[in-house]
Amino acid sequence: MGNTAQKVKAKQVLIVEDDLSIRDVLAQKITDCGYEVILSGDGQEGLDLALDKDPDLILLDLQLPKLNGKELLKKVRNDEKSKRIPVIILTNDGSSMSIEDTLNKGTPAYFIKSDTSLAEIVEAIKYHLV
Amino acid sequence: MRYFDSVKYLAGRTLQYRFKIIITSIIIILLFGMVNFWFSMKVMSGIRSYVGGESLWSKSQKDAVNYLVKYSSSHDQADYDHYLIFIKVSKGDRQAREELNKSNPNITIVKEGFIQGGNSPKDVNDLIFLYKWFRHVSYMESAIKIWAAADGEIDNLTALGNQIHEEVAGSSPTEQTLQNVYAANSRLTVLENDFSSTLGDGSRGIAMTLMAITLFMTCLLGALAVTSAVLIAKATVRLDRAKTEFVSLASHQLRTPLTAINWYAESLLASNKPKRLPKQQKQLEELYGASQRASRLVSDLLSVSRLDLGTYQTEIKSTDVNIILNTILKDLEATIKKKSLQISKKTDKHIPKIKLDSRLLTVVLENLISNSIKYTPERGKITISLSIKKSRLIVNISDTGIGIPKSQQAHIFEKLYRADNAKEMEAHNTGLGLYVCKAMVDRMGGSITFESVENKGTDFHVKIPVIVEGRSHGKYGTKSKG
Repeated sequence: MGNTAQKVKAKQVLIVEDDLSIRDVLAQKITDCGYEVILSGDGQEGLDLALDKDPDLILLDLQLPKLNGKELLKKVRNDEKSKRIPVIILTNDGSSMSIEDTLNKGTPAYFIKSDTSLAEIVEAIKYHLV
Repeated sequence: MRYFDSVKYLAGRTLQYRFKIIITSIIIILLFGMVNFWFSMKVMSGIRSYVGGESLWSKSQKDAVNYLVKYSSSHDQADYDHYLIFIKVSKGDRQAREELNKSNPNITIVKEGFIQGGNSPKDVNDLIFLYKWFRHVSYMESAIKIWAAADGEIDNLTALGNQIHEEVAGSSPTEQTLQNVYAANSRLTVLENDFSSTLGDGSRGIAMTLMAITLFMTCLLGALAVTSAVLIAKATVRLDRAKTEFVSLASHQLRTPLTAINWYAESLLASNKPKRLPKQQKQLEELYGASQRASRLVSDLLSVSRLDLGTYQTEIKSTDVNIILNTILKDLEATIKKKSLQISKKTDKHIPKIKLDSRLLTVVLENLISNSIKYTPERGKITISLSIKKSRLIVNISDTGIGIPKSQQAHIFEKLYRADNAKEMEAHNTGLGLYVCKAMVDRMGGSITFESVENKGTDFHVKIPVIVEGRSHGKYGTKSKG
């Protein structure tokens, strides 16, 4: 949009991931790249944060306690305010069903965590937050 | 209740044991069925021979009476000779029967008798078989009694024949003698009819019994076959479930810690390099490399499980093969540079978009190209060509690598197989890559072949049927990862 007033504030990335180590290393890397991170360890809290804080991007795991990632994605997509937030799926469930499902729900990228490097994830975040 | 008891008994055993029991039972029933069939045919054939023999017997007896009556008026010796020939027929059968009644019958005499009785030599064995085994069995026994009763009448007829012969020599046979012949003839006719109907009833009974046995065994066999089919299906389902469980276990329990190791190692490698000793840097690189290998292994195992289980779902969509190829080469750039490999791409710039499962194609190309890179020594050459001919995507990947030893070429698509020279060069690989490639190419309905000379290089050829779209831009763009 080229709004100069907003450029000052760092962009916010919401990370919804239940594994503590993975959440930690992701948060470090993304913070190092100059983004602000919001962290959540379960689906319900993640959804609340997504609707409440209106982050610029969501990194979403699919297997989550309380509310799974697919449900979270559906709810975000159904919310007028939040539906434009880009969501990048980070999961270890590589079954084609999951991939197709989430890509149909307007997810721009889908990564299998164990096959992806942090650099690739950062690249994807930058691509969507230009 | 017995049936359920045996089901309970089987349910407590191992699957292998259950199969053993069921298969043994099927074999026993099949053997029993074969014996039953052979026996039935033999019995039915014997009965047929007796019925046939009986009609011959009764025809001969009637002919004998006719010639005897004719002789009494014609006084022609030829007629009497004919009578003698025909009366011998019934005597032959009698000889056979009487011999068979002995505790230790002389089979030669029996056979001679039956043949004299006008029976076909081919039927004789069946006649003997039936008599031996069934002479004391209901209908057969009654039939034999009737048959033995006819003996007296035949003796009587023989005596009358002799009497007529004497009377003809003297003057003319008396009316009374002829009346006696007629009387004997009608009594024999009654006996013959009795014999026929008794044997007929018997054969019907036997046929019904045998049919019932056959039907029962067929049902039993069917039930066993169904039981084993159900067992096999159940076992397969259980095995599939176990495999699926393993797949999800591997994917979630293994991938998550591997991801953490991968990313921490990556973070460490990306930061504060000058503060590390060269030895520490090397160790960190090793750590990162190993965890990435482990991740790849898990991914390969998952692909194999999905393909083996058939749970992989094909997804056909518009694809730009050039983009796929470039992405793969970009990912492998570092290794290519490190080994100073010369990669030449021979692809048509205006290659049309095609419809296929791009994920399958990506894995196949990734595997083949990374194999070429792995097994080609430094400064080697790899040529990749892509083209579309007649609705077929044709991929050729050739390298100047270590090749595949001739004696091992037949096995390289087997799961976990690795050629000796490949093992020597890259100790860490799993032998799943080409297996996965083959399975995926098969899945796409294509073919994968190769030519290879050891120490010279390998050419892989992949042909995949595709739907070629128009030369214009496709409706759906392919978004790359970044």
